[in-house]
Amino acid sequence: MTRKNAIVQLIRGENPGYTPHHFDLTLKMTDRLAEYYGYDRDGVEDYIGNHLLYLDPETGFRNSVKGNFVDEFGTTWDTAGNYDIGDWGMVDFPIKDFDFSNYIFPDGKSEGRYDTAIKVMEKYKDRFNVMRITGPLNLGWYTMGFSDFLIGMLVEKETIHMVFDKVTEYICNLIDRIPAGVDAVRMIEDWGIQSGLMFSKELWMEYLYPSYSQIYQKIRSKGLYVMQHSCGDITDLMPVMVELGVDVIDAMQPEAMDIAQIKKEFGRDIVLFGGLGSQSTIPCGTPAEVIAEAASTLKIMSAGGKYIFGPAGSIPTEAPIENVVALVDFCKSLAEKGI
Amino acid sequence: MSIFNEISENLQQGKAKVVKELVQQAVNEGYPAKQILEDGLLAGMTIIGEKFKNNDIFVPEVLVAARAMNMGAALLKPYLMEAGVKASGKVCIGTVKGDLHDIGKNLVKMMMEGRGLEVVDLGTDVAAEKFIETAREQDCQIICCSALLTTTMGMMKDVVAMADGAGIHANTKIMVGGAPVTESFCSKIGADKYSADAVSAADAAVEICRNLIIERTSKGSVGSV
Repeated sequence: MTRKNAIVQLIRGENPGYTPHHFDLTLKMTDRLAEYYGYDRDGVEDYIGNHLLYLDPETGFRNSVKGNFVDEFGTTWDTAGNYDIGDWGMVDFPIKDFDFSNYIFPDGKSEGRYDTAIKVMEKYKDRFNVMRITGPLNLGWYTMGFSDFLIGMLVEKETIHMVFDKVTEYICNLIDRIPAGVDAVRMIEDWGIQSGLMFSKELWMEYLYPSYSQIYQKIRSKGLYVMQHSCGDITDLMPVMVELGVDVIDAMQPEAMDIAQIKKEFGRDIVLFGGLGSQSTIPCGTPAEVIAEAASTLKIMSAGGKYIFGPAGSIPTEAPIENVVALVDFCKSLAEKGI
Repeated sequence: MSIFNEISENLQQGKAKVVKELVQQAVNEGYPAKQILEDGLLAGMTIIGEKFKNNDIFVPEVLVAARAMNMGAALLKPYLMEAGVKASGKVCIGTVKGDLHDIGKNLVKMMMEGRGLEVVDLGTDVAAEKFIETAREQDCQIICCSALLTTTMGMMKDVVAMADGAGIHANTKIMVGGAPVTESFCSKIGADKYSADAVSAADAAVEICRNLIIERTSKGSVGSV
């Protein structure tokens, strides 16, 4: 069975015969593993048995551009140095004081955006191909700063509704142009903090429900599966995720959520992905402790299926290599043992 | 309703312009600046802090309240200076070297300012030397370090070591926080206080500053607080 088929079976509620896994890795951890195993960056992901093949539309950010880069939204990113942590390398944004009077939103219709993704898919044919797209909340705050955006959700509603409309249109246009061969779209957002949602569920329903209704519908219209990522505690949104028909949700951070309870309540209705803490044992424990926690997490989360095993969030760059290798070996044995 | 309650209520609702007008009105009516600050602005932020801690409100509500407080506080500042009213303590805060996450740090800053502390915000990606240099130059009672990544929290150890090396650790306490940070990590690196959330951090900072004042007073030393 291919890794792609295992994920598809899982999403369909069938039993692939083992628990698939996927590790999110920082670029530097990928390089460390590549050096350890003797592969290049793409090859090591394949070797460690990752079931998902992450692909990205070209906005320039995820290319290895040294120094500062200004994307099509006018947001400035620092992609150099230690900032291989994804979208948190933002250093400046184009909109100040809610003034959009001279701003033109990108429409997402430019050509050639998926050229690299197509080449990557041709190289690795065994995996479940996932196009990662930044969600409307994150895109919104990239244009105007986190603080102003959240303040605006309360006191500048007309402006924020406009922003959501524009970025939703952009996202839907990106999805429209996704090439053949992609299996799913994974929307990337940050809705939660360690202790709950970052903003009220009422605000989520006001701004994000209409946006995501459109986005998820667009994804499904392309025959693709819907994956949703959010950091933090999003327990209060799980019923909405099920209602909106999300197929796979991650990261299921155990430091922030009661993942056993989540599994119990929603595990039949949606595939849970993640669940293994990446903030504690992996970077700070021993290989034996990592394996023990992995086994314990697997036992809870894989009951009844509909689970993709993996760390919740990226494995930190400085995690001891022996811990990561132990986890890789553990995961690769799951298929062999039929666990 | 007293004007202080009106200031507090409108601050909690994030009505920044109204808060500013009410603060001006209170000044015009002859109320002491310190009382306007404490019974109006800080009282409102204290309620906001408790509600946030109890998950009754969320980050946007805290941000709009803080914005209202800052607008009122900015208007009050010259009157406070004229009356010789000083902050109850001074903190320099930042996210450690290599870390760009500032949500938590910004919330801590707002809560600390809401408790009457003066906060020097060093931003993100702050080198250990910068924390020490600022604490020294601005006579801070507290260095407050934030980290969201396990890869960067180790930098907090450098801050502690540098504070020890510079001989300032006795009079400048080091607070740490952030998602991967724990009480045991705090003890292990020799920091003074770990806080799990922004409100607790503000409470702890107020207590630390108060204790340092008492210590300084009992030793007969004269400082900025």
